[in-house]
Amino acid sequence: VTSSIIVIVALATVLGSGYGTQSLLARRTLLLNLPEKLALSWLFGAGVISMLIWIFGLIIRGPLLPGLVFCVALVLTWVGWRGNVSPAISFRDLRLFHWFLLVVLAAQVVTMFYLSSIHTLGWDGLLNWEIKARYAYLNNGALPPSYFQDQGRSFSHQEYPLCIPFTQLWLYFWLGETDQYWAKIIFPIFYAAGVVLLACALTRFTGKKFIGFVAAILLFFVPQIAVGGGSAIVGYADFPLSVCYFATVTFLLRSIEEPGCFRFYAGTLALLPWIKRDGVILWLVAATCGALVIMLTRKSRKHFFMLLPGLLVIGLWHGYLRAMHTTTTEEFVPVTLANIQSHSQRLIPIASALLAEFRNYRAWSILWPCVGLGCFYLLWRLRQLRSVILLVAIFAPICLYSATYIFSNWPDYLFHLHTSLGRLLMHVAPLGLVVAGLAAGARLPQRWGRRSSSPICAAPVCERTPGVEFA
Amino acid sequence: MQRVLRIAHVILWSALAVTLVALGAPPIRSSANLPRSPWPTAYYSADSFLWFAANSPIRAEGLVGLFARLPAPKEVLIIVKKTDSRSLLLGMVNAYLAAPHPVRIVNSGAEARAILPVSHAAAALVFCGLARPDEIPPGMIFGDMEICPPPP
Repeated sequence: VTSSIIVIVALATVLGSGYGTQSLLARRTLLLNLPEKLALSWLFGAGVISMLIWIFGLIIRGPLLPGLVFCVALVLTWVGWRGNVSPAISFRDLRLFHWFLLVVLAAQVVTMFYLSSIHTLGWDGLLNWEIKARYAYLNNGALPPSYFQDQGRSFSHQEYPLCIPFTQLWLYFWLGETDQYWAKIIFPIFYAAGVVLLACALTRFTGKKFIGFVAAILLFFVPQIAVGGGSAIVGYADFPLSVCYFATVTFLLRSIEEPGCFRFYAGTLALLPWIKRDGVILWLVAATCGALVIMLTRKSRKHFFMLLPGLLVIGLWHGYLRAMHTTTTEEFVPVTLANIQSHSQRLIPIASALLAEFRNYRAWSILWPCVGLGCFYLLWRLRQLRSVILLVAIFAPICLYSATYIFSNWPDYLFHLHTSLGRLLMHVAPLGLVVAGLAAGARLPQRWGRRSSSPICAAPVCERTPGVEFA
Repeated sequence: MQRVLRIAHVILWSALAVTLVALGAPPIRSSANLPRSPWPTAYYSADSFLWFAANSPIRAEGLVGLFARLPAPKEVLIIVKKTDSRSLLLGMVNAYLAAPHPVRIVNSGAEARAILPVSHAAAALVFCGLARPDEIPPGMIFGDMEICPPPP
């Protein structure tokens, strides 16, 4: 019981610092729902706390380190408390059917906490992520330099960034010991944040609350996301990364009409490379989409500067790894013309393996056929910038991820693909549900999801959705 | 015509949603049927990995204590069979638990034969899913794993 209370307080500090961060980003220019604020608070909180521990840990160790991080978290919480003067949005115009869907959604989140508690950490969960939290805790808050050079522990991918392990480390500071059971609690929270963001985004895009709620409920029924290898319950970074990427892309889409959203886009964009190494690819795709939006919507050129924090995170982390003389695993051969020529025969097997993964109904149910249908509908009926951005945000990472296996250094590159492709597709799966939801909602009559003063759509501009515009 | 299309659209997407739930629910239901530990320990994931890989209910906390008693700056040699995923997993979990000792994971066969004669400088040798060679003194056996002192 004592541990539970301590963990709740620790999680509250993460939420508090994230709340402050998102308030600083919003600058009262953007109204968000309370659940949406909390979901974003968790994303930003995990990013900020882990980054503070890393940066302060370069200078100080021991009890001073969590103390200093706690002080900054308190200041951020205070900023958030002071900054959010807009009233919380009421849920009073939700209908009975909406409440039913909300209860189902809440039950699913509770189930995820339960599933997380009965499963152990997965292979990567323990040996890639938690290992870093444990070693940093045993070394007074910072990873020992010897760890980065330890060939014997290269299986733990020393070069992977620290958002997830240092969020776990924050719990260890509070608990006063390492604990693999409590370390796992952060993952169902990422799930909760993900479904809230999914429901809110789709509600805004379609103008229909039940479409948002149903899509969020359906996410639970994709086994790869709920219970599969690398899912939201076994301590892998893939689902947190997919939530962050989802937030990045949906805020970019919203920024086309709500300029205030661009700051949130920039904030979540900066977190992508801090969650997982693959986040660099997602950063590249999302930053390219952001640059397209800036140019095509004639936003001020100053917006390009907002892409820099992510680049700074990538640069700082790689500089740190170089300074630590980090051991790197040679999973991929260098991208050279000679290697492209010698490995080009892999293209067709990789493409067929990708198609087979889309048809893997045990892992994905029929998510990908639904996404395919949604894409077709979007291209056919909703030809606009947002559709293009959304499709690029889904398919560019899939193509880039698949292309990386051309350069796989594993003896059997298809085995490499089969062990990781499913997890990589998770990164874009929530966006796939947005595509399907947009297609499903576009033809529905407006009385099914009346425009309202909107408990979910806080900002009036959000009523101009692709579906509404098309209608 | 518009009305018919709209009805068809609703039926199509409803059917897809129901199919997604119908196909997705069974794996989730079977995943929820795992027995729940009454109060998991701080090492419950490592315990579970060790049990799976070594075929024996080994407590990770006990191994942490054992590694902590070894001379500090010395390396722990972990001998695994890299083609056997259980042996490899066992080796990695031992490497995880052996901190702050440096570790070296060595493949059985030629690689191990080359290193064993000069392994007297190691803090300990851990054989994961492998039989200990005769020249290595016997150690503590944990299921399919043996932690041995270095040869004299």
